[in-house]
Amino acid sequence: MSYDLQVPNELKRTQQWFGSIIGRPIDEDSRMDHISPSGESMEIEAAKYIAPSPALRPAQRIQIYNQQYWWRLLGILQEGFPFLTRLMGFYDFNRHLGIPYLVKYPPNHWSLFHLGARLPQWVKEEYHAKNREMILHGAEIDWVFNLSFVVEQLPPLTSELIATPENLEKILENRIYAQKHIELFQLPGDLFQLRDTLLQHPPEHWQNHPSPPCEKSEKNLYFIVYRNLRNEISWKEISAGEYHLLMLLKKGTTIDEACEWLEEQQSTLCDEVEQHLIEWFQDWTMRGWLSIHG
Amino acid sequence: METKQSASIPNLGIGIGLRVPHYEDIFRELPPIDWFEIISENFMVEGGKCLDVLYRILEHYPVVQHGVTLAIGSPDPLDFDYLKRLKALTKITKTPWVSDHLCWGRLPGAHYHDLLPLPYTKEVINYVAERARIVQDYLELPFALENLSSYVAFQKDEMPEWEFYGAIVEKADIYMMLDVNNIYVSSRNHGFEPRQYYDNIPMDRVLQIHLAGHSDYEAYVLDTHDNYVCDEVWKIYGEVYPRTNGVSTLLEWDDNYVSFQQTWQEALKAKKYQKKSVE
Repeated sequence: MSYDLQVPNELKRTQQWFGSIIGRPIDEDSRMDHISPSGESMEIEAAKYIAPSPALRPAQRIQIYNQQYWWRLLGILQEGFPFLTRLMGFYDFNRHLGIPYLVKYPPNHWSLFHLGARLPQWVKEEYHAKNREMILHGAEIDWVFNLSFVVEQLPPLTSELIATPENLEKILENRIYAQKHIELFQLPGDLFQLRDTLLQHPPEHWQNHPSPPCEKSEKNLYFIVYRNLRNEISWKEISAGEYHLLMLLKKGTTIDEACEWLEEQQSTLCDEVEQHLIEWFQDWTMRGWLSIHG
Repeated sequence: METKQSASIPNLGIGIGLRVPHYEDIFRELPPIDWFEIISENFMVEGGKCLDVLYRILEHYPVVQHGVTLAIGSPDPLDFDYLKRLKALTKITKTPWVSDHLCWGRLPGAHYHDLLPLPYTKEVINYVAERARIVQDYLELPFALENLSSYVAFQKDEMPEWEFYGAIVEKADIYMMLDVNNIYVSSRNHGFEPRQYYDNIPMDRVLQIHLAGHSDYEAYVLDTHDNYVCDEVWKIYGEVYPRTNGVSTLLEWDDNYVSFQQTWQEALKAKKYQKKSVE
C-alpha cells in the first residue's frame, strides 16, 4: 500500500510561505522582519495569506508565531547548554551563538533532544571570538550531558558474570566495550568544576558577579562523564592511563589488543596501567561501565 | 446504539500531565491520582532516567500518551520512523489511546516544533483525514486529534474551525481530544462565541478533555499552560462535559510550575463542574 498522498498545492504554498517567515530571526526587540523574503512589506504580503483579527493586523498575527519559534528554541538551547549560557549571559548566548547556530542548522528532527547536537560543530566552524577555546569546550561538555542522558544502556558486564576464573577467561576472549553514555575529555583546566560552580546560580547572577577563575593546568587533565547506577549524569577526574584505556574501550577492544597497544606506549603510561588495571577493571565493572555487547 | 465514543474508550477520571518538577512528590507520596498523561516524545528515547521514571509510574498509575510532533497536516510524507517508535512506546505504556494535534509543523528538511494552524478547506480535510486514518490504522489504537489554540486565520478559509475539525474526525473515523481552554483562546483570538464551537462538533467522538491556563494580552490570548484555569474555561468545561456522557479529563500545566499538590487540587476542581452538570 502506498502512503504517498498528493498534497494540495494551495496548502503547500501557504505552508512554505509561513515557514519562510517564522524561521527568520526576530530582532533584538523581538520583532519580525518587516520586509518579507520576497522584498515586499510584510504588512502587504501577510494580508494576502492571513485574515485580520478583531484586534490584530495579519502581520501582527504571524509575528506571534515568529516570536514563539525563536523564544522556544532559544529557551531550549539555553536549558540544554547551561554552562555556555552562564559563560556568555543570555544576550550574548542568543546573539552570538543561539541565533546564528539555528539559522545555519535549523531543527530538522521530531525530537528536541537533537536541537543542540550540532552546536559544538558550529562553534568549531563559525565562532571566532577571543574566548573560542573555552566556548568550544563548554559546548562539548554541555552536549555530552544531554547525550548521556538518553543513550542506550548496553547489558553491563557484572561481577557475577566474571565470578569464576572460567567465566572470566571466556569473557576476556570477547571484545569489551565502554557504555555509550561514557564520554571522555582531555582539557587544559578543570572546566567541570567551573561548570558545577556556575550552575549553582542562575545565569543572571553571573552578570553581576565575577566568574570563578579557571586556571590553566600545567598538564592536561582528564575527565569522564557517565551515567551512574541511578541514571544520573556524573563526572569525575581520571588519570591519563584510565583515559587512554577507556578511549580504547569506547571503540571496543579485546584484552590482547589492549595489551598490544600498551606495549607501544610511553613507559610511565604503561607502568600506570599495569599497576592499576585490575583495580580499574573491578571499579568499572561495579559501575556497570563495561559490556561485551557493542 | 453504540456511539463512536462508547466503543471501548474508558473514562479514566481526572489526571494531570506528568512533569519533572513533580517527580519527587509523586514517588514519595504515591497520591491517589486517577491517571497521568505523558508527552510521548519525551519518552521515545533509547535509555536513561526518563524511561526509569516511566516504568516506576506505570507500576502505580494508568498512563495516556499525548504527542506534539506528529504534525499531521504537514506536506511531507508521514514519518514512519517516528510512528514506529511511537507505537513501540504504546506497547510499554499500554495507553488506551494516542492523541496529537490537528496542525502542521514540518517542511522538507525543517521541523518547526510548533503547532501551526491549517487553512480550513475541503482539500485539507481530505488530505488530513486520509493521513489520520493511516495513523490510527498503523497504531492499532484509537487515535484522537486535538483542536489548537490559534493566532491566525487564513484568507482562503472556507468554513469555521469547528466544521473543519468535525469533518476530519468523521471522515477519518477517529476521535477528538477536545481542549476547552483552546476553544476559549481561539474564540478570543478569532472573535467567535465558544458555544458556536461546542454546539457544532460531534460530541460522541470526544474521548478526552484538556483543561489549562493561558496568558491574556488583551489584543490576543496565548496558550501558555502556565496558570490556573480561568472561570470562563471552567464554564465551557461544565457545558461540554455532560454532552460527552463522561470522558477522561486532564489538566495541562507546563511552565511556571506550582507544587504537585496545588496542580492536582486544581485538576480536582473538575469534579465540581461535572457534578453541576448532573444537577
